[in-house]
Amino acid sequence: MNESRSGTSPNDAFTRVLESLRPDLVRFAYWLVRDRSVAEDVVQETLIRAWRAQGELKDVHAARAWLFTIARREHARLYERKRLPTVDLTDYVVAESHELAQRGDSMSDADMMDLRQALLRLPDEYREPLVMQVLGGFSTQEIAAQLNLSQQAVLTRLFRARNRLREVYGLERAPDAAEG
Amino acid sequence: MQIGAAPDERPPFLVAHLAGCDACRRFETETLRIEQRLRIAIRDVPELKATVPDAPPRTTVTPLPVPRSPAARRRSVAARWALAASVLLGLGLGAILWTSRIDTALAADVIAHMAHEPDSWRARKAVPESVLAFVLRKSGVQLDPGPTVSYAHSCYFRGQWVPHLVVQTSAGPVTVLILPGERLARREEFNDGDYAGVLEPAAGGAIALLARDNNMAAARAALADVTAVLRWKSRRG
Repeated sequence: MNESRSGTSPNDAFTRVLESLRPDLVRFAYWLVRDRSVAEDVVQETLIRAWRAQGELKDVHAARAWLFTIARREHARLYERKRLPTVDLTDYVVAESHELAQRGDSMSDADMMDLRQALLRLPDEYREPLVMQVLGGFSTQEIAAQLNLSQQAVLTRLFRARNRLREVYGLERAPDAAEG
Repeated sequence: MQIGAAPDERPPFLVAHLAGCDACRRFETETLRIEQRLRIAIRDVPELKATVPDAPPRTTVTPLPVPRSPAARRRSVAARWALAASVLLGLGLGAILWTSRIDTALAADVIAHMAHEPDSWRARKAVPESVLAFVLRKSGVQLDPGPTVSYAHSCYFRGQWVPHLVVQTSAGPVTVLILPGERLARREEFNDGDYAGVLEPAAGGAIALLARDNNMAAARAALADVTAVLRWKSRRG
C-alpha cells in the first residue's frame, strides 16, 4: 500500500484498514468458534498475523476476504494446538443467546434468542458458509474457493442452513432429497 | 434450492419460474423475512478485547545451545581461550564479551511461513512420488526413499521457490523447508514458545525444520532422517 499525498505512512493506512474491518472480524470469529475466549484468541492472532503479512495484501478491496481467510486458518491452528474439546452447546447456547438478547432491538427478545440459538446449533459445515455469505458478503463462488468446495456443495450447505432456521418461525423445512 | 441458498441472487431462470409458481413465491417471501432477521441477529455479538497492534509485533525467538559431544566442548573451550589470548594481545583489552548470535530473522520467517499453512500438519498419508518429485525438482534437490512425506508444496519464501514438506517422525510431524543458497555458518536451534526448530547448513544451502509443541526431539529426529536421504543435485550460491 502506497503512502498517500497527505503523508500518512503505510503503517497508519494499514492500521485504519484493520480497524475498519475489526468489528466484522470479531463477528466472524465469534460465529465461527462459538466460544468467546477462543474467539478473542483467534481475532488477536489474526490481527497480529495480518500485521506481519501486510505486504501480501496487494488490493485493499480484498482485505475483508484476506482477513477472514487468516481467521479461518488461525482457528484451525488454535484448535489443533489446544486440542479443544467438543463444545457442549446446551447450557452455552442458552446463556450466550440470553445475554445477547438483553441488548434489545426491533425484534422480540425471545425471537432473537431463538434465532441465535438455532444459529449456534448449526453444524460447522453449514454455519461457516452462512456466516461468510451473510456477514462477509461473499458470493457462493468466493465461498467455494475459500472452503475448497464445489459451488454446488456450497449452495447445498447454505440451503440446508437456512432450512433449519425455518423451524424457529414454525415453518416446515423445504424438501431436501439428500438430507431427508 | 437457489432461493434457500442465495436469497439475494435472482438469476433469470428463477425470475421466470417465480412468475408462475405460487408455492415458490411464498417460499421466497418466507425466506426473505427470515433473512432480514438473520442479518440483525448475526451482527450482534459479545464485545471482544482483541485490538489492532500499534506496531509490527515481533516474534520472540530464543536461541538454544546446540548439544555437543564432550570432546567438541573441550576443543571449543580451548579454542576460545586461545582466541581470547590473541585478541587481548592484539588489542590490549582487559576483558572480552562473547556473544552468541543465531539467524533470528530466518527463524522468525520460518515460523511466520508455517503459521500461514496450518493445514499442512493434518495429512498423515504419504504424498504420491510424482508430486514429491515435482516439488523437489524446481529446487535442484532429491530425496532418496526414507521418511514418510505427508505434505509437499512449492512455497515462495525469502525470494525463491522452496520445497515445503511435512515428514512424519516417531515423535510427530515436522515441517521441513529446503532452502537452496541460504547461507548459515553453523547449526542453530531455537524456539518461540509454540514451535521448536533447527536451522542446518547443507551442501547446497540450508534446511529449516519446525516441530509443534516445543518438540525439539521431533525436530532433531526429522533432521537426521532428512539429511540422510537428501541429495543436492547442483551447488548454489
